Amino acid sequence: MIARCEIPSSPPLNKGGAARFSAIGWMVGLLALLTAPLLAYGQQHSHHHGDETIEVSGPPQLQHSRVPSATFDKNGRLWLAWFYGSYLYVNHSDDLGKTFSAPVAVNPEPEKFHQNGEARPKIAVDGDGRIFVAYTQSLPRRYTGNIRFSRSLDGGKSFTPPVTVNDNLDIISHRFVSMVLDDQGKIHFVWLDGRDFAAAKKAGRPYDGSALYYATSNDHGETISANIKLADYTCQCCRIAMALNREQRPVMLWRHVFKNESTGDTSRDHAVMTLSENGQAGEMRRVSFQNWSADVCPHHGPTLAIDSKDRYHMAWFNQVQGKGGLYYAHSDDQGKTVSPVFAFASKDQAQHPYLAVVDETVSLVWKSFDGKLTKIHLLRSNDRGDHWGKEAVIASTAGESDHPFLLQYDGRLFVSWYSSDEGYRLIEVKQ
Amino acid sequence: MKRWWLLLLLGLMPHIAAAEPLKPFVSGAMAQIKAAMKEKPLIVSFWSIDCPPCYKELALWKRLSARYPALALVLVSTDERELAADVKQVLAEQGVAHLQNWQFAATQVQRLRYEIDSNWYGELPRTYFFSPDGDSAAVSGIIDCDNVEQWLAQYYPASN
Repeated sequence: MIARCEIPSSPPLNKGGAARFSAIGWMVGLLALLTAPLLAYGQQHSHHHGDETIEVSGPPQLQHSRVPSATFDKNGRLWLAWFYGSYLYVNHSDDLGKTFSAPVAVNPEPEKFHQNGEARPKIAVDGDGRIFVAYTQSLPRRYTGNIRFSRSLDGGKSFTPPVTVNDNLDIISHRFVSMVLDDQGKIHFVWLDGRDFAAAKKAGRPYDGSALYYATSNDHGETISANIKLADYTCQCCRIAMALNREQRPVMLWRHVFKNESTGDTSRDHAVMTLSENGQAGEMRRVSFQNWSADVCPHHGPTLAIDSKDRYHMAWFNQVQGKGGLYYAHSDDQGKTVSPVFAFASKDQAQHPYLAVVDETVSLVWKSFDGKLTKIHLLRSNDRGDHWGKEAVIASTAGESDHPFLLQYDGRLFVSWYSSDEGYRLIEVKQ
Repeated sequence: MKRWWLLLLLGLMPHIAAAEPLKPFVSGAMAQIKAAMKEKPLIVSFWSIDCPPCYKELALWKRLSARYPALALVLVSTDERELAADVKQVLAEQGVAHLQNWQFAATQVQRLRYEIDSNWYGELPRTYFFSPDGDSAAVSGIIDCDNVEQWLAQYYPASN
């Protein structure tokens, strides 16, 4: 019986079909190149979004962009990065999202993007007004991609041609990029990288998941460092949370594939790592122990915020005994020890939490769906996550929607949220 | 006249030329599938070409469908409609193109998932087991093949 049930230890990736698939990809690529000038404006072209496709036409429209990401610069100008058709666009708003500037395309040549709630464009603006964007270009083979980076040195009027951040250029998975800027203007990138999985597969060794890779730029994006591996065996399809701690060191929280050495079973729980002082891998520490023990693509990545006393606030989705729910915990010692876990939502498909901390106040948002409406919920703690208030619903939609995010500017807090019926919304959370 | 190149092109794309159309999975499809299989044990498995574990599970379905030819096994790809050719290619490569294959075809994907199961958060693979007596079970992640064999043994004599 058991022999019949044995399965290969690694998935047969494009077995036998790689050559043909590449050929089709090549033809598509050639067609795209030939038609590029026409596609930029006016022509109909299709637009991917996670599980669905919509046809887009005409000039780029933020309200049809599906997974826009936003950030504030130091003057309170809101900057957005969003995909439309085969281009990444950036524009800004000086009135908190009421009106927007004309979008500027980042990539001069059309590209395909890996885009869904978990894999989206990233945007950051430094103290001197340089604008940085990062995203995943999808390549002509299933679940493969390159991490791309571009910057604007003229206040968003133009962008440099995108460069590839990953220094391994095989057509394998380099996806789910996260990017943060520290207060010295240093840019930090992390992403999930399939090069170790590919090497193991070639050598006939088992390798469960992807790896966490890191690169940095010390010269405002002029050059990007060699890539450093931070951890083996990450989950392959969840966003990575990244924040800076009190010493301005990047801290990563991600869904990891933990192996129980005695049973051989794996579980997809969360790990945290603080980059070492010299920019190398720090110690990886497990922070959730719920043992979601499925070989599964959850598409539910965690969230992390760090307060001025260096408390790491963490929230995530997990399934415990088949029931989904959202959980919060914090750590005062970089993940060595973790507070009791607070199960803060489990009804109506609660999912995709996002954290922000302003002084002593920790805010959590997430979305739920009751079969009719998607709602954005807010929960706050005024004592750094020790006690929590009553949850409130702050927005809703009857249509499809993106994950919610929290942005802050000058002590004010905003929810940044896209929904298909209402478009992009910036909603202030009253103190 | 000089249509030989067209034939050549078609010949180069056997999967595209010969593949069966995927049934569009829209609102009501799950009920339709269940109604059609009311008297039989039924397995409905949701998967995507973008999900590495799903490939391992497709290999399991291939094996199980060979051992239990009478098994009602339905596969549903959650990939966007534009990727139908890729979905068909993967089904052919994995040897499961002969099964009843569907593909998501709704714009309101969240609503569609909720209608299938309000406890499903979109994780893949996701598999449902329906017994003729009305019992059902849902599994996220790769199924435990031994458990499935035990479940099937209730209904089908072991074929070898």
